[in-house]
Amino acid sequence: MLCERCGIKNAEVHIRQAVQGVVSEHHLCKECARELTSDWKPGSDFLEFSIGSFLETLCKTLGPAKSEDGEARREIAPCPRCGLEFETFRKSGRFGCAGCYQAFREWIRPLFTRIHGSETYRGPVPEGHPATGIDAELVLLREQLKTAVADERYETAARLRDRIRLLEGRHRDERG
Amino acid sequence: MNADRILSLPLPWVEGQDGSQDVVISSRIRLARNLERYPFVNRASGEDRKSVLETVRQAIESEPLFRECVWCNLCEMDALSKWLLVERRLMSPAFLKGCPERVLVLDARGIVSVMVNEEDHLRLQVLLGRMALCETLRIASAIDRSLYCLGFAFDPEFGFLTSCPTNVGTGLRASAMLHLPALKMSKAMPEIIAQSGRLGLVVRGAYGEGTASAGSLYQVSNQVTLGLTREELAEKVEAVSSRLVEQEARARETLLDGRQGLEDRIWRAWGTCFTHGAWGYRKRWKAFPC
Repeated sequence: MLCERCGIKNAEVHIRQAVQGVVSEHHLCKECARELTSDWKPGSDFLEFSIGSFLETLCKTLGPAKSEDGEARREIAPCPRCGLEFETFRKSGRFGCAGCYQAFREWIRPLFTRIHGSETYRGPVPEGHPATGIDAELVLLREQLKTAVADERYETAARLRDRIRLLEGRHRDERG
Repeated sequence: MNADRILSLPLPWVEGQDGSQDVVISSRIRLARNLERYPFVNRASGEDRKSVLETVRQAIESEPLFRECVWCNLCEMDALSKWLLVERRLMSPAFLKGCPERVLVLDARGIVSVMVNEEDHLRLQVLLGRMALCETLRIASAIDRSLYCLGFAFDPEFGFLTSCPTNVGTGLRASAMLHLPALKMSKAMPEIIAQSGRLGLVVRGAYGEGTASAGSLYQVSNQVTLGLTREELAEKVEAVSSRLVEQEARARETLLDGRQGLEDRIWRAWGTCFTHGAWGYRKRWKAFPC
């Protein structure tokens, strides 16, 4: 097995990491492992493989997969606000502006699941923010569902449908 | 802002210690926030960053919570002064380098600091001595709310939006700094570090990512920022830290059973350390058993 970071040498260091019940595995060559843990020395109690160390590798796998007949990947439009290309995000692991989250929404959810074990925020909404409450999220989800169906992305559509049903149920409960 | 002025500022997380909290040194909450209408720092132009700074300045100056705060323009400061701020944990080591529009805002009591134009537009930090993560979070949340007028980048699904995906959601990093010499000497730390990872926490050196555990000082903090509320994250760090305090107490008792051997090691290290003229700071530090 080749090192997932450099893709050149054989992977000799194997790491299994569980975050909030989501297990991820990483396979690295000795050199890449050493680079990611520059402070580590034999006998030291620090072997710091934080999620941040793997960000680059986690991002590499994002985006549409190549089709089986070798057809090129479907192009993802760059962020309309800051112009960040999805490919640049995959390489750097850094967003360019708030608009990038909207532009790449569909493709970044798996990344959040792998990093945080979840893809949904829980907590207060800033006062005065236009997108408050379930109503706003439902509007957004319904729009995404339409696009997913139009693009024939049925797995995504099914997930969106489930989320909409869940929120609609909560909405009904809240209103009694 | 020079080194003398920094040294004259209060440092409650150190000065407030009464000696009873000999394991938990401090509690810290850090919130990462960005302004919706500007590109993130890595994509922003110099003009954008200046505008961010000016907008933040106006909001902070009109906020009573920041009365009598001190503004430090990093580009106008010498290296010693900047390192003093890092050593006093008022700013991150990453903030030493970066764009020319970096500014650190310190409150007069030495509890709150705000880094402007770090990796995110704002890195808000509240630091208290002893184990007080819930109180620290309460202060940080109040300041966060007072700055909502800035129009933070927020998404109903993903929460507060940050430049790095590892901070998205709450944008919160809760951490407790612990002094764990007995656990380190009993070689229990690798197992503790591994267990913490399984709970979504990370144990690092005293100054965060990539720093070694000099002086047996460790920082326990949350690794995930999405999916749990900020209160749940702070409670988790506090619960694990409290458990480590208990384990450290037990490890100290065990160590003291062999008190004579331990004292011998400490005095030998002391003797070697202070009679070896050619040794530098690091070597002297390492001479001690813990």
